[in-house]
Amino acid sequence: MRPPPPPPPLLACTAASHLAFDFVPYTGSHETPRRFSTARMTWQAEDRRRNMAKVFIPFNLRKYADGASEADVPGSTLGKLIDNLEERYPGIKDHLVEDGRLKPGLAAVVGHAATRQGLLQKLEDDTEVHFVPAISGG
Amino acid sequence: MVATPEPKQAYKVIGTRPIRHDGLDKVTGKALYGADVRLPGLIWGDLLRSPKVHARIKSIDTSEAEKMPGVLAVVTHNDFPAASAGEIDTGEDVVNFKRDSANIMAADKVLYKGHVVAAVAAVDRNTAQEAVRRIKVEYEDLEPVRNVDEAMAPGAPLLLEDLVGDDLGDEVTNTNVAKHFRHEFGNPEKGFEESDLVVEREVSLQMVHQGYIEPHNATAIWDQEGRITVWSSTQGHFAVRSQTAGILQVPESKVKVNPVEIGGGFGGKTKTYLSPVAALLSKKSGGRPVKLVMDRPSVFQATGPAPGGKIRMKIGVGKDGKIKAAETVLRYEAGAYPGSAVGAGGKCILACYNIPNTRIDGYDILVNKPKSAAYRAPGSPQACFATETVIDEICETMGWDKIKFRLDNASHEGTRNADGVLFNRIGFIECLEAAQKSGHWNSPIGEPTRPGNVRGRGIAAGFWMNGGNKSTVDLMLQDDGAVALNEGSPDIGGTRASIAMQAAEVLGIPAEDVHPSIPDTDSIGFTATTGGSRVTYATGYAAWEAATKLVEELKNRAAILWGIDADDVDFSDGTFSSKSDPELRIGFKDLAGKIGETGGPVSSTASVNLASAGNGYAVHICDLEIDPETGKTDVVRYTAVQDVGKAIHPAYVEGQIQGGAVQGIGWALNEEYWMNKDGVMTNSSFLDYRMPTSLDLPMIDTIIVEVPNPMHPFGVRGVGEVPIAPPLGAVPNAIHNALGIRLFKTPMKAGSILEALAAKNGS
Repeated sequence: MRPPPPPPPLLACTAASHLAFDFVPYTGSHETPRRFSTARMTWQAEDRRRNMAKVFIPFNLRKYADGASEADVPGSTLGKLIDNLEERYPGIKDHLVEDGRLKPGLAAVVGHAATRQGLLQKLEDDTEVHFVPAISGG
Repeated sequence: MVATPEPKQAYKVIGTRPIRHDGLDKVTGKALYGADVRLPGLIWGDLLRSPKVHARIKSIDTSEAEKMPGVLAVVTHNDFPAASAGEIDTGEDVVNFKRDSANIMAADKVLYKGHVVAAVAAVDRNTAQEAVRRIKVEYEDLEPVRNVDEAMAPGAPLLLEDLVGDDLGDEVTNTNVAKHFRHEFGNPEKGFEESDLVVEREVSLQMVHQGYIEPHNATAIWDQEGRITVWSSTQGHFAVRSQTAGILQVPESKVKVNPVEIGGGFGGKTKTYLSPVAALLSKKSGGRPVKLVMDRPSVFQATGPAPGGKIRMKIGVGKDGKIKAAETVLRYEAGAYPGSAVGAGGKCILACYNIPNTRIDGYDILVNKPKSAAYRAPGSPQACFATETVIDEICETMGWDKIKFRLDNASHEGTRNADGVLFNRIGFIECLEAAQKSGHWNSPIGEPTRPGNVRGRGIAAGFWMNGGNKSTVDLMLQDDGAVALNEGSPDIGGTRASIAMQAAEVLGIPAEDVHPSIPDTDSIGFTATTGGSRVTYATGYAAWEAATKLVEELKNRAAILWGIDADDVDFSDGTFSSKSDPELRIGFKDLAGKIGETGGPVSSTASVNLASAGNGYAVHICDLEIDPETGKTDVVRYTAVQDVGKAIHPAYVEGQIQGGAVQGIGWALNEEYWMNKDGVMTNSSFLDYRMPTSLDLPMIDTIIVEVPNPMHPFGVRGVGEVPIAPPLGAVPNAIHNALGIRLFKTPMKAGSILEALAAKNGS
């Protein structure tokens, strides 16, 4: 049998066994450096560090964020991050969350993959978060 | 041909080409399709469809139909419950059941020709059809909205008076624009100022259909206990369940959907049109099973084609060969209700290239045409047409090598897509390099087959992001060592084989010893629709996980058999052995025969919910021969290069690539919804809607590139969708190479070529 495969494909995972996921290091020269971390640590430790994520504000919502396109926002989960974003930019949460879930038609990309965990998605320190239109295929 | 940039694993099953498990049934006609469903007491339904493109329904008189002998039920929209008007995330799609309900049976307005107005159930099909003819509908004609320009014009007639559009986050009323979004990064204006060449073009596209052979169908029973049972050809029986339950306002647990075989879908069978109607007819018929089967014109006129529309593309480059900025506006036809693939188009349109300054505007626009649906990489082929046409023109103008320019600007790991998201490990550069080294690219184009004909070569790249989502697989070990595999993914492209092979690889047994089935929605855990190129990736992941669990349990059973600790048991190449005692060895099949005495049946299950990942890239090379006197165009050679991560079953991967390429070629050269001045589709048959057949095209050569997806145990990426995108760029670029003319409208048919040649020659 082949060697153990990588863990489930969520960049930020909930189980300790999932944190052993190593990406091939990026060696490019002129693009924006990757923001996601491959650090191996427990979520309890991360919570103590009060994770800081880089949130990319969708163009449509920049008017609620003083025109900002990016913001460094703390939050150990996507839900907590949005709460903290709301503290900084009152009113923005209504455009991201509906009935306690991400708004229909909206997807959150954490790192480089659209999360399936919704507001419960754990966030690693220095993770990128994007809010983009949800896409379905054919 | 297989190009493998990274070391291959030594697989025994993966990468082989076993005969598909469902092959014999399908080639001998034994496979059960939707139209084959026969049940005791079965009656037939038929639908009355609107002859109008845009009209208000003033009255519907069903009395004559109801009086007919043999008629058991008549249904109009008044029989449907009031469904939720809000947008609901079903976990795999966003739906609005009120609009879905009005789409499958018109409420107060008809919004396209073929829009269903009423339905009848009768003892036989002829009686149902005659009863439909006796229903009288009075319409008030309204001005049709035929395209995106008309829809966005000031004072345009409104399709949905209650629509609240979203314009960059602001609510807008009295509009046909359901949504306007923007992605913006960097400073496009500054990027264009710094450019040495800026090319700006607009392309336009007509609606096209997926063209699946099997029409939509559904048979339903709504029994006395309030349970609804459905048999339907679909890409997702769980989606049929949620859509049927949502439209009829019954709990999902009251609906059971049986997937039958599917005769093609390509995205078009992700939507539900008939099941709720058949269920309502059944209820009104006293619980009799009711069957509905569409005819071909109905499939064309009233299911979900790919959106047409217009795309404006502006790209600036420096003399250093780098793209400085890009700006694009995508206006897609949603059809009669919101929800075109413009969001996906916006994600795909600049995904091949590393561009520092970008702006993407997308518009989802209502027009009086059937509501669009997914079609293989939805939104991406249209986008590819715009991007790759402009890229080709830039290379021609600057005299740059077309592959080198793409390589110099190619997206790779760490590049930020124009929606801001970073790519992880992707294989676009490897695809370009494979194309660069290919025999096709390095061969002369050859002489025309007839004097006067000319030949041209085009190249283009395409992208699709590939899906993840929820999947479930159950495994049940049989006494003879075979393994029954239940999966929740309807098989539309050979996935019984690709899923079984991944389980077999883990279990160390032949693929033929894994017996896949696709049970009903009550008999397998939730599994999202087969679409988005997700099944071999996500359901394959579940198969890997379930098989791994099965091996672990069998290690426990071997330990019981040998009286040793389970930690002392190893498993490799289909054999269990003791780490400490080399005498203790037993094969998978032999152990399966002893499981009864070690604790009883062995089974396992795995459910996953995977993030979308494994972006897919393709590069296509197209050689055309054109007769300048008639405009007749023939593809004479075609090569498709694609990063598939890992080809589980290379023959089916090649088949997917070839099929996608053929559909893209048809889209580029032949296919369109031909609408008359009143907005009526006039070519709703396969005789008039010309799709390419095997007689029209040469063998599509494939080059499989395997850059493993780090998110999957075997490195799998989605395969089925990317290949439809590049032909929309490769074909027009080949036409330009042959004739020196650029066509900016699909289809690039003979008449269009002659018109462009005449314009070029000043005649």
